[in-house]
Amino acid sequence: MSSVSHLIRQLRQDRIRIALTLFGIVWGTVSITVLSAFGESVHRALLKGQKGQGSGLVRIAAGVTSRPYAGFPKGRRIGLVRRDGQLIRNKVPEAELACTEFGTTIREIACGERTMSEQIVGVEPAFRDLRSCFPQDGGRFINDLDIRERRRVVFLGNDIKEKLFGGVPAVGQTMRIMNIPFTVIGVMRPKLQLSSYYTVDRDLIFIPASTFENLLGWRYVSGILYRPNDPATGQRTKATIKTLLAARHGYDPHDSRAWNIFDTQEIIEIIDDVGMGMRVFMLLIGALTLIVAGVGVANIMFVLVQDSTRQIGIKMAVGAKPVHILRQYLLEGFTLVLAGGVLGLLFSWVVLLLIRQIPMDNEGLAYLGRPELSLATALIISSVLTLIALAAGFFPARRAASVDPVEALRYE
Amino acid sequence: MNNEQFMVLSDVTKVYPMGDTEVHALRGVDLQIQAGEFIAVLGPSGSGKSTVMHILGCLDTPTSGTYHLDDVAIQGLNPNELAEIRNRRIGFVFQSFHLLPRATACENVELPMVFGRVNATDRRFRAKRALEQVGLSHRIRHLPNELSGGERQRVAIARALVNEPSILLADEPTGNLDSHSGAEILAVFEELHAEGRTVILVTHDEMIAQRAHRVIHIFDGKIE
Repeated sequence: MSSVSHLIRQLRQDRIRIALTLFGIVWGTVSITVLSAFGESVHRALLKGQKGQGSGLVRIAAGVTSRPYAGFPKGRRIGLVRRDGQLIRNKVPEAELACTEFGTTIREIACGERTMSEQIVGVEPAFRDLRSCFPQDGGRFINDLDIRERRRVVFLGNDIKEKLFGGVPAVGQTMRIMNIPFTVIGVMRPKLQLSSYYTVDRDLIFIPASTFENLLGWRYVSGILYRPNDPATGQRTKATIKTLLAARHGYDPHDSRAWNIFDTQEIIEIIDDVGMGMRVFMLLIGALTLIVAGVGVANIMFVLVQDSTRQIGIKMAVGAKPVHILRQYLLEGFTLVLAGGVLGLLFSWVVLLLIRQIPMDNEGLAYLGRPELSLATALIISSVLTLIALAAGFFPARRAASVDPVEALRYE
Repeated sequence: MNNEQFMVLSDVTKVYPMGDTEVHALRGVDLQIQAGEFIAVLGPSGSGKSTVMHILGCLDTPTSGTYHLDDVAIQGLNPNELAEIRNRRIGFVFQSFHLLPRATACENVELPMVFGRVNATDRRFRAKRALEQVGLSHRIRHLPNELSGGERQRVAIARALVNEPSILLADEPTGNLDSHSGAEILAVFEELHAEGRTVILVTHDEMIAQRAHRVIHIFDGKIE
């Protein structure tokens, strides 16, 4: 009679107890699996949302000096101009993509009969790649010719386009900004963006930076955007640009207040840390649930050992060595936990499959991303399960193996 | 095999802790058994006769004194070595049969071979043959609770014999049986003795003890 057929008989005998224990393991496995799948997908969604603002993007805005420099007192406001963007493009080859940006709110945005107040930005062509503002088919982004000729053209975020034109195609249409007619040249392709400083790009109206200068008579830009070619050397590129601008504007390059730097690479690193922390936390909670379930299995196994004390005695009388008894109960505990684990993994897989069927077009749900069971998570869960299975079987098995055969034969 | 001194107990004592006190089950037992003997160990309940059987059967070891089985000092062996000896050399038959309740007659008889590393086909074959020997070839797939007391005890005997041990130890084998079944079982033991096995019968029943060729009286942990 093998241990497996013995186990099957035991299972029939203790059906309810076994079912509850199995449920514990299944539940534990599902919670650890689904939680960590969500941990990963939230992390992925945050990263994607951050990249929607432009991956590896750095934005420099002018600040106020906090140190005296070259005879200037502190407290001097720095003014960045469009030429600073050109300078970076020409003199810092590590930052291939760089552009200046103006931004403000204009109350006289008119389309047809309606007039409204909207956010508007003046940008240069590099902005398209920096911020992934790609045009939908049939349109284009602002180009060099628009800049040079200060053309009155406008590129629209996909939501503001809906607001202004509804379902009607906008490209080629005319709208009025401060009572001056502009031609729509493109509409942005939808993208996931979860962070912004003016407003998300889908709500922005884009015009050429040169046109913006003329229209509003601004001298200073709102910020300079650039992306280092290699994120690994991003800190060095940043230092190069700092020194360059400090020399041009006459302030101490180590003056940290002279500008406000917004580095998405740093934010991505923070997101990675948070994501890792979240996953570890989820795994920990799931593992705790599993351990509790493992204690349940061990408990059942102790009861089984107790109930079959006399049978253990009989086996020992006919020549079973302690290791035979140990092996039998180890195998039983192991089989129970792993059966629960396999069921749990299958069930989680189905649960995740169903969750992925839910449409995620809502902003809040978008943060959840699409939870998937990754190989790494599955491996971690399998090893945790195996450890628990061994532990849950080992202690009852050790008790069974240490039974005194004479005592056990007397046991009723 | 040394025919003169096959199983030798010398000044064997056995003390069990029982709560705060100790129970002296054996108080200095000397016993020599030759190979092929048919012996009855006779004594009232609590006399220590079962303890003698457990020690002779290597289920238990003496608190003091020595036990030599075929010149091997049993008291120095570890649980694995004791299990090995029980498996190969000794067959047990108990008063309450001690069959696995959820295993069929055949599976019960196979049990000693499971721990003796016999492959499944041989196990099945030898178990069936042993059941035939005790006249139960028609009960192979029955569970113990589907068998009568006499049949159950015969399954237990088949199990005790299946590894072909030289020693058969029986503790009140007829105690739970009616007189007819009891007589049948005793006849089986006589047959086994005739085949050359050492048979040791533990009982409190004078009538049964008389069937053996030598009767050893035990009282209060001592042989009289």
